[in-house]
Amino acid sequence: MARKKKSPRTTRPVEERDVSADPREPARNSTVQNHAPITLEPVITISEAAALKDQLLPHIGRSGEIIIDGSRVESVDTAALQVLLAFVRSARAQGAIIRWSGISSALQNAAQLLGIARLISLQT
Amino acid sequence: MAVDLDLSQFHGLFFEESAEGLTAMESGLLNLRTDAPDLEIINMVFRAAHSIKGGAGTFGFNEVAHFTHILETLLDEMRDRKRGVTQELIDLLLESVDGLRYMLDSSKNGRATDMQRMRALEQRLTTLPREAHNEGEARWQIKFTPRRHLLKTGNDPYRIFRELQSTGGLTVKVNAQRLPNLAELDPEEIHLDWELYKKAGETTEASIRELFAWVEGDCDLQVALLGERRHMVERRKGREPEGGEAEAETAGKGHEQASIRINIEKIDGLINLVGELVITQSILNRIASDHAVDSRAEKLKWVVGLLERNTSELQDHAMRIRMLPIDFTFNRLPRLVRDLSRSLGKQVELKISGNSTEVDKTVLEKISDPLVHLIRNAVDHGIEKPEDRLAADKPAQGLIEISAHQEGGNIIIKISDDGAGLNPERILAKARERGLVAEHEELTPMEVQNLIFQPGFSTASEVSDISGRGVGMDVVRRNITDLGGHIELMSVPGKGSIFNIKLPLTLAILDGQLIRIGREVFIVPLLNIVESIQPRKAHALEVTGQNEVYRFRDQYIPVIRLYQCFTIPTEIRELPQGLLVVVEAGEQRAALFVDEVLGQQQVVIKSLEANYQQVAGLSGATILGDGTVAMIIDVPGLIHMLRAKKAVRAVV
Amino acid sequence: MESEAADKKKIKILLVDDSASMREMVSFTLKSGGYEVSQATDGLEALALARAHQVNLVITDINMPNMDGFTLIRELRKLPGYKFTPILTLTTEDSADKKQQGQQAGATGWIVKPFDPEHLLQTVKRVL
Repeated sequence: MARKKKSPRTTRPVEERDVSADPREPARNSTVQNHAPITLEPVITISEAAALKDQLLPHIGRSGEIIIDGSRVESVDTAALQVLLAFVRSARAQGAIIRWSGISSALQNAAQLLGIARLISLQT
Repeated sequence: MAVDLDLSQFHGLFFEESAEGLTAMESGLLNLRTDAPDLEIINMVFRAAHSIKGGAGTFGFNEVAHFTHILETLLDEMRDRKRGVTQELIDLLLESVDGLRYMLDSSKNGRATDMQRMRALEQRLTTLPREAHNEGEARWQIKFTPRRHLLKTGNDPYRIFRELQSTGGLTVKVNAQRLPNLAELDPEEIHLDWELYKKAGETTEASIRELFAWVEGDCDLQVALLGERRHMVERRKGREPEGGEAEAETAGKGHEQASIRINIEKIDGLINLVGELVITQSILNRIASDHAVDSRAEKLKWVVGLLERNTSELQDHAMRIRMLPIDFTFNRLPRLVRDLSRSLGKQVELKISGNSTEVDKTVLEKISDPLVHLIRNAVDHGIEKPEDRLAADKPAQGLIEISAHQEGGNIIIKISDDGAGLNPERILAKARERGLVAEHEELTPMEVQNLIFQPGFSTASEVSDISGRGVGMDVVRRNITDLGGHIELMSVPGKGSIFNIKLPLTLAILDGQLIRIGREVFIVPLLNIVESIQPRKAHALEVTGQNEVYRFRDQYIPVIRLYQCFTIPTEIRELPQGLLVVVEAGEQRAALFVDEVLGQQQVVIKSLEANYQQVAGLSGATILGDGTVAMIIDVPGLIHMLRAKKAVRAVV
Repeated sequence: MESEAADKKKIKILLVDDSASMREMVSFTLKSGGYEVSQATDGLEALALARAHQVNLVITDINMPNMDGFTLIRELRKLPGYKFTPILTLTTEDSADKKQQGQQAGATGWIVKPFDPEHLLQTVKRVL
């Protein structure tokens, strides 16, 4: 399992919408829109945890459905799952519904082993 | 080419079979242990669910099929050992059995099903976390609380858990309460802690701690062993039965024997005809014996004798067709005791014995509610809370025993508990409060105990606590006496109570005492008779001008002049000229004034309602050997009528 | 292209020990496990090597000239590329405090000398 070093600035997916940078501002769209899914990188370990947080933070405050695509995840650890968990809870607190459009087995196994699979809405 | 089949004719059969299947499932689940789950039981429950699913699908009960499929999936995982057996799981499955019963019942009676209730159950079933081990099994409990900076050394709980998991049987529970919201979270620090459970097996504490060795200084680690470590012993099939459990199981296993279902009307019709046959045969018998001297009659007598034996056997068999093991009623009780004791915070063990004793189907049906009520009472009022029991130097777990056995033509059911017993002072006080006993009235201990059977003793609010129905001990007793039986109570304060119930095995025949009034013959059920006596004028007394009482043993009991009740012409009007038959129903006694007491015999009961109409004071009729009709006296009914009349008179 | 990909996939381990025999033994074992191994004789050399080429795991002895193991670990952790990289110390059985000292310095864990090759490989797997 190679650990690639990634600089924080290069992990934004191309499809990501330009949402308001301040997560405390209420979402402008209150109905379900076609937001592109948040795609998780293949390598999300503690070294990429800060970048992951930056990727997810702008989506807090959206209401409606937030779709996450975890099908590409190959390497994940506790730190990254902790970030995901914090995201899911914060997003829900703002009225969002989390849905997974794809889950890799690596992600599924890790989430289950840490006991957080149900908390982030992955089926057991 | 579509074939239009009307399957609705088979619905009844499906509902019956499903009801049986659900009972079997319930029984299995109640017997399932969490520390060493019996695979046979799980398999049996699975098969039962599978059958119901199949039938439901065939007959178009799709909601039922869908729901049962979910249960089937869970059970399948259990038997594949992919899902551990926990108390939570068993409870949820039992709730689901109830839900299924409800669904099937609604379908059967054409009522709408509350789908919201079923959806909620479904939700719980599908989101129940899968435990890796059986609860109660020996397992390690590991409480792991990392310090915030644990990740900085390159260590990761994920890898540690992965190693724990490699030898199987790991369940992980996370606590994320300390986790800040995303904006405030430092992603390189850790704010989670865990409780892990690992099947003990061969694992040692040292081997567990070894896995956490590198992070020892960066966390709080607690390791404890839960449950009992057992040696792996082969479970033999013929294991030691625990009290009545083995018997209850064999009753369930009866399903494997060849059996067929018959419509109850067909049975009743058959039994009726057998009854007719018996009567005809006894008339024939009488005729044959009348011609005793004639030598040609010898052959006749011999044939008649043969016939008598045949019909007697036929009658026995016919009676037995309607008989069912009392287990059909007893099998509700373990669940009841379990649920009730749970909700009341008590620990109660229920021991059942004699549940294969057979009793008439109608008796079975009518005794069910009284038994349930008595058991409920035993758990609710009898058995004390664990702390109270310990304080009284009793084991924390209370014991209720119910047993049934046959004695002559009766079935004796005994319900005993080792609870608090009845407190005579409290009962007396309550009875006085309710106006059942006068302030200064003195009662014997037996009389005090029997006060609980008085109507009005328990208020509806007390009694309906869990059942929601107002049922008092008086109704219990009435149900039993209506069946021609009686109930007796023995209780020792602090030690417990015993209820003894005597019931006739069958409602179709009766052991009766023949009596004569004028030219009419009546039958008094032997079960109700206390004694027959020659009355003495000295003991007779007239009270308030209308009521006649007679001194019998230490009591004064009312006299019932049957010739008046039934308007029968007779010469015998003075007490010393006739006889008094002292009868009782419940704790009420009366003396029936009759002309003569004749013999005793077993009679076949024929319904008055079916052949004529219901008559107050009579519970049926029969045809005697000489072809005459004899009425059967309804003792409880008569006594009840008497009290009613007295009450009316008192008011007037 | 394929060999490049294969290179990328191979896990790189940096082995630091002033004892040649120890380095030989460990290096041999690790290579047989399919890992790529680079060696350094002391902390100073190791630090330079680490800066030059990113590795996935560092295994280091404690007592070495020029820069001992603890210092090496502390220095490594300062580098952005080695903040969370697994680092294992080689310790002897009876030095419980050395183990903890290593942890304090930032080591992920330790391997106790003497060890058999199987144990080494298992521990390495554990940490990657």
